[in-house]
Amino acid sequence: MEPNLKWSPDGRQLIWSAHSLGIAKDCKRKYFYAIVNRWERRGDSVHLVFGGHYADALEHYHKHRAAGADHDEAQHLVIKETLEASFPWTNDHNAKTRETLIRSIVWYTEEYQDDPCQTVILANGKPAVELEFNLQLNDEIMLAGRIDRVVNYAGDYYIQDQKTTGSTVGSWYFKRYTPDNQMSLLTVAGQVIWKLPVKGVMVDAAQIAVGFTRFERGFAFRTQEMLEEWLRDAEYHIRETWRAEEAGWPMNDSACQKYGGCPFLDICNKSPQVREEFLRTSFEKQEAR
Amino acid sequence: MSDQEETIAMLFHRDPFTLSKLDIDRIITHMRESRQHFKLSGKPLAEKKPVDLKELGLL
Repeated sequence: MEPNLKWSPDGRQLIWSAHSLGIAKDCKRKYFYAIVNRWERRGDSVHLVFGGHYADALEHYHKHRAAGADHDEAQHLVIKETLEASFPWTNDHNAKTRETLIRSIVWYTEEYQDDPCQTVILANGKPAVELEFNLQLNDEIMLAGRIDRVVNYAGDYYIQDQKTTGSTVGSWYFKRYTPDNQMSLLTVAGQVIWKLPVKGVMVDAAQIAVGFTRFERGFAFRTQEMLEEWLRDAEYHIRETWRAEEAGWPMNDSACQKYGGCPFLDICNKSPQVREEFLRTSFEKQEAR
Repeated sequence: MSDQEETIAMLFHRDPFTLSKLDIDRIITHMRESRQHFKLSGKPLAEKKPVDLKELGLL
């Protein structure tokens, strides 16, 4: 879930999530549409809704297990919770349905019920699951986000992050996470907020297909130098984004085809005077900031 | 669609707040069985053996 983003009276974003920073790095025009004006393509929310329920369920499963519940008990609790939270289901995506959501949660918890990685217990005695964080980048800028789970695996600490995808998950899939904005921010947060020597992010990816869900686990490692470099770069990109309004939110036309095409591709390929009309036709505005 | 699949589909259409513990267990059991079925039918490529067409008298 996206943290609350804070804005200065002159319109500068002061609290940055990995999501908003990633979009700002991609393209200032995309940032203007998606973050400043909160346009979202109709139908795109299915992935967010599915991924949100899925991540919530697995976080709760680990929480119940850390609190002493056995596998069957914890699984029953999260299936009940998810059935209730996902009702009524309104989208008509062919693979991301309520049934495949429940199937994916059952299959994941079966697959990893005897997982060697353990949920870290924080100094306050609570399991390190569903953690929201805010950290100061400098006097003006804060970074914010949410961590699914912190784990201890083979003697090392990792942030665990759940991903769902429609495509096949192989070793190449995990290459996208190094370098990667979100994985660097999560690692920084683990080190700064909870003072743990976090080595990186353990990505549990689920391929959601009509007839099956397949799981693969991969890692995104970060050295201290990589994190320091990422923090320097993040500040640069944020300051550059603050200046983008004066320049009319310039378009980065070399990023339009990234990841199968920017959602605003069919807006930016129109003449400027008709773009607003096209936005209103195929996009909807999310609630105001 | 088998009887079991029909029962599960009906459970998914019901208001979840009216589902009993047994109903939820039925859903979980069904999903566990579908996983077992998938694991049995979806052998990794490395485990699949080549077929000797000569031996089968097809060449």
